[in-house]
Amino acid sequence: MRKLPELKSAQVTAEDRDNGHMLGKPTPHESAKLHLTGKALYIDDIVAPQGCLHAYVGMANVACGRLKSQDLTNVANALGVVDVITVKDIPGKTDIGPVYSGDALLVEERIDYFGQPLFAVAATTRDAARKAALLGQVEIEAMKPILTLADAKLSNKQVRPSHSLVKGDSQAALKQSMNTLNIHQKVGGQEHFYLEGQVSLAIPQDNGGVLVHCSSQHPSEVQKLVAQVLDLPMHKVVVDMRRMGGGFGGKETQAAQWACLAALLAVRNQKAVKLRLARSDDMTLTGKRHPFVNQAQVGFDNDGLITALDAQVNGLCGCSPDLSDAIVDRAMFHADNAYYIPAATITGHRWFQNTVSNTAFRGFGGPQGMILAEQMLDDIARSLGKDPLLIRQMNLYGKDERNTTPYHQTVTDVDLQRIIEELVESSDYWGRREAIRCHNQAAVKSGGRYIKGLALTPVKFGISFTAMFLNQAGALVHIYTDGTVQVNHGGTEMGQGLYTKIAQIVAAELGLPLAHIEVTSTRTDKVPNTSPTAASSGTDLNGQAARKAALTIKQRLIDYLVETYQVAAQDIDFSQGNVCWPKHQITFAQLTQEAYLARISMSATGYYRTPKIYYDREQAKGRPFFYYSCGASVSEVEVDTYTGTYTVSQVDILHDVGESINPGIDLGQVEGGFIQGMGWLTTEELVWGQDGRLQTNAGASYKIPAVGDTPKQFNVALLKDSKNHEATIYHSKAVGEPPFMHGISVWSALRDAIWAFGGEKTNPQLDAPATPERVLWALQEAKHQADPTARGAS
Amino acid sequence: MRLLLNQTATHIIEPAAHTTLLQWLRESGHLSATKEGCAVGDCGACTVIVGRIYQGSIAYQSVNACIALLGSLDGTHVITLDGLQGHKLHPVQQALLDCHASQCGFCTPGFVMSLVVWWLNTKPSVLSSAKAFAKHRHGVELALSGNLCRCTGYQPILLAADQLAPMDRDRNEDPLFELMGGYERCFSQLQTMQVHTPSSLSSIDIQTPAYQSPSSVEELALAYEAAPNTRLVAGSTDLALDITQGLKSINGLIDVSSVASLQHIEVHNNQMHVGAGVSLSIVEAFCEQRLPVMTHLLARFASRQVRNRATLVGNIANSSPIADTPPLLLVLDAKLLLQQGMNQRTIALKDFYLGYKQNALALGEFIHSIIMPLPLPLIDQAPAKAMQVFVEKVSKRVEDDISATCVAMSITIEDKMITQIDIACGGMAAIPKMATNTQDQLLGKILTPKLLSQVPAMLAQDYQPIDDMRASAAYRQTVTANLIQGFLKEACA
Repeated sequence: MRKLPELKSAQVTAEDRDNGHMLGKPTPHESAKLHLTGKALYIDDIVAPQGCLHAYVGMANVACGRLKSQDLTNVANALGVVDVITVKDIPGKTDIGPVYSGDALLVEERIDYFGQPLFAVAATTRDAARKAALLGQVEIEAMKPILTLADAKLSNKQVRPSHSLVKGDSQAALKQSMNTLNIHQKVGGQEHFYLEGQVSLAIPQDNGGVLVHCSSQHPSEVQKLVAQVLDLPMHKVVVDMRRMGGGFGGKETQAAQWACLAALLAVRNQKAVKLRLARSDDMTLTGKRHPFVNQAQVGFDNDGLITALDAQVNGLCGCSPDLSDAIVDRAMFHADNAYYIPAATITGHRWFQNTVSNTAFRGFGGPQGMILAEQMLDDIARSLGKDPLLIRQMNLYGKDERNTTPYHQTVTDVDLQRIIEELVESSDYWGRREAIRCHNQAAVKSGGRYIKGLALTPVKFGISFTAMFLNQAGALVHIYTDGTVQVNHGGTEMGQGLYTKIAQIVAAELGLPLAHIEVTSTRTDKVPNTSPTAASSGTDLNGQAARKAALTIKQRLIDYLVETYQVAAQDIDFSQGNVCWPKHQITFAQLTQEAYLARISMSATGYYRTPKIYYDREQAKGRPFFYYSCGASVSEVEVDTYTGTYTVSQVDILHDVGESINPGIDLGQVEGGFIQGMGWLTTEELVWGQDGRLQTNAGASYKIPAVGDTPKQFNVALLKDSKNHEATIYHSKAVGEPPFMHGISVWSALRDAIWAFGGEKTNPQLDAPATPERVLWALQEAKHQADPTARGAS
Repeated sequence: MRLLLNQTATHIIEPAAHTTLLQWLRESGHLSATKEGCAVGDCGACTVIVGRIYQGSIAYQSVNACIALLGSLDGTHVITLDGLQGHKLHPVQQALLDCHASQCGFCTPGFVMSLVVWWLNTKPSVLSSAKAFAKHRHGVELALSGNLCRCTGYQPILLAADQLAPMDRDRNEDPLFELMGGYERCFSQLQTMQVHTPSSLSSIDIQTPAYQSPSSVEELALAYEAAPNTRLVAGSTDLALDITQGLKSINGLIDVSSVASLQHIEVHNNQMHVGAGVSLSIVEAFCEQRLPVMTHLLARFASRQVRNRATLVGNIANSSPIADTPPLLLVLDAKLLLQQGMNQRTIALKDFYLGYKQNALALGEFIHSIIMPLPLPLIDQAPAKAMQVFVEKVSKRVEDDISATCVAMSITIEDKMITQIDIACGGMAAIPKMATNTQDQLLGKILTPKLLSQVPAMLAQDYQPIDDMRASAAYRQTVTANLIQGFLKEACA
């Protein structure tokens, strides 16, 4: 530029000065005002180019079969239709599997799940495309689908080989154990139910490439897959993602298919193409949390100390590998949860089913493994007539001994003893335990309708991608000559507040008010080769990368000042939009102008990779996790013994986020994660028909928690005076996934209530989700076991 | 048709019968603040505020734009979040900001609109006592019953509402109206539109519009008789699913909700009369003192947004086996006033349902109103003779769910003897059905533990429910029996 800008926009207001950079403060989400005024643009809100077409897919009406022929004349002739494509029209690769192949963009011959897309259509309106997509004349040879674990075992069909973690000789240890218990539990899947469904808008470019706006947690993978499908080099494809209306793992791999189809149709027709799934189709066509069937034999001594574990976790993966290898691994990594197990064999199986391929979902298999550990601890306690809390505390990982996991990582930074002690105190666990015991005994005696339950469960969640190479991140920082800053990084914003934290980090490093930092949309042409925003890693990875980029430029500015003003580097201070050194103060903006004129580069990249981690999967040994994120929760429930319905009356959570970068956002993650985890284990039930069709494919039939499900007493706190012992970004801890697993305390409390109803005699079998129906049957069973002559629950 | 869209008087020429408000806002109006989350009225991301003149002032309500037909909004004030983009945040927006109540932000527009209208329609309340706080929270839960959030767990949203509740305010001075050009201006605009409503012209030469809104019962009867295969519509909360999910084109509709005389709800001779245009929210409020059991049930009926549009008569005419109000109406021995052309007849509700989604309406006949005898107030009678009414709905989730079973019972006990008993259930058969066998076996009896224990077997004669995604047949049977046994114990206690 010939003339530098006037420095009005870079002035620091009084408000900015009060707020500072807000590191460690509960500054609002960077888009909060846009959300609240409806100005925040999601992909469907972007003003599409003129002539934009709308795409939709034609779907298979069997769960398993062979596509013999399809006559799409009626589709092509339908009102408004511009283009129809089948697998034959794909110029490049037809498989879009993220790690292993198995995910067809469009069916070639084999149909693996109900609804699987057979063809795609582009039309002038979305209505026209949806209606036309129903008109395909399709001939399919239907086959018997594999829908249950039993079916899968019978045909011995796994999407990936089984894998084991082995520490010591668990069989021998079990034989020597004073007591053993067997556990068999079924844990249901979960629909993500992001409020914004899958959507992509592809705009053809004059270089033969395409720009894709895609609601995705993994723009780099979408870029790669679009390029492969279109048979284009990757530099012709740009993926842009400003914000998602929720992701939760459901847009890690599942966004790619719609992006690829939109891009393909866009390039073929040289028109912009938007593909937005209707909710019921989104629920039918995209993967969910894996259901699991867990089996275990656990050994323990007469005090309740665990001696050995032999566990099998069976992940029901759906029809393709997708991310199931890593998901089942993470279930295995968390089958110990927070408890030391001297000898353990934990085997994970990855079963095939003729359902849509299950995928990432907050916790990534961790919750499905952890719930096994929690049932184990409850059952051990009850079989010994002890309070489960005591048995939990007794079995926690030790600090200096009893601290090796089944995958041979040494646990060094887990302070669950402290967390549980503080939570027991703040929630008055023992006082309430006694009150509940009195209430329940009176209710059982007098035939009272309502019975109560209480449980405390801890969470220890491993942080890092278990696929080592994903633990890297890049960022790009630009400083302009009015002192304002743009930051770009590889992470995506799905509501978790990543952009806010990144802005706080860069503002802190440059001593600028937050208003001077703009985090711009995640784009593959700004930061390349990024990892998905997943595994709770967003801030850990991208925060470090952004910090490094900011520090690189800052160092150049310092070097300039040192040289120009003969000042010692350590005497220069960047704060509140000013740069000061003894007897001098200029604004940051002035400095940027000076630096520009002095030909200093004010753009830099930053790059980060997580240190210390390694894992030898062959040996199942190593340190897959940089650190653990921990917390604990106490839930109290009141169960209606007539109907099995219940209310969660009080929940107390204490969660460790280390040195919080933004406690407002972190609290929100804890509260929201808990409710989502509670939903998984309570009302959210996925039901498939005999034909393999998802029956709960709408909000009317699939029930995520609503406003009344938030506990009346909901006390959530972040652990005070805590910092990550590892050198994470400002010693904070990842927070996205771990709180999800606090929902397990609700399920555990329900089992506690059922146990009380059965006269404190049995370990109730309660598969998840614990719908009112399952609770009612468990109540009946508990009562029957207590008194075999009694009939009925009431 | 004309409507006031935020500040702007808007003229729409002949909307197609099947155009939804959401589609029109986003596609024709290019107003993108209102989001589509599900397009079936389950999630509330599309919530807007609709005002219409009611008893001398504008009544504002939350509405799901995704299932509200554009044609039904003639003469209304539609407020969308696009209209709340002033220089200063509305207090509701500010409170939500203060409490970190948005994460991904996609549901947020709907929550803002639901809370704005809740705040507008709620008097300030001090939350110092536990009772006042519980009442306040219940009100907020009702207001937000149709808004789903997948990120926050609702806690910060509830805290924002707690912060808003005690703030001093005057309805017609709400900051909302600053953004709308003042309440008086809105009112006079709506009045002007009502004068110009063209429905009076529809009977003259002009071609019948796709979306007909007759203003009198006579017009309605004539229009329906002339085109008996045209579907009648009120709130379109069910019918719109044929459009957004079934992808059906609907060529014509006749809206019953603009007929003034069908908007009446009143009590004569201890009988409540509810016209075909009366929304469930109005019934809910009207029954609060007169028939609390109905208000209690309606709190569990779908969501606030749906109840603001759906009608009691629609819930009956729809003839769904899982409709929530028929069991209660059956045990109250409700009757229906039917009309065909100029002829009217009365039919007992228990004779109305003929089979799955089938009813006794003749071609061209419609439900004019429902008449339900009120159980005599307890205080006017010796307690021994009072009729007691029970109803419970069982579903996976409390808010906005479809029942596995909905059980209603009315009972009169004199000298320990059951002298009257009616039991009806939803979700237990192809129609909302009375348990005639059980009733017969209990009538005239004194409740003993032995008799009580026989209730499940009696009910098994009445109901053979089905397994579906909501519940198994066995669960439905067990829960229904448990509840009826519970009602009987309570009634006889």
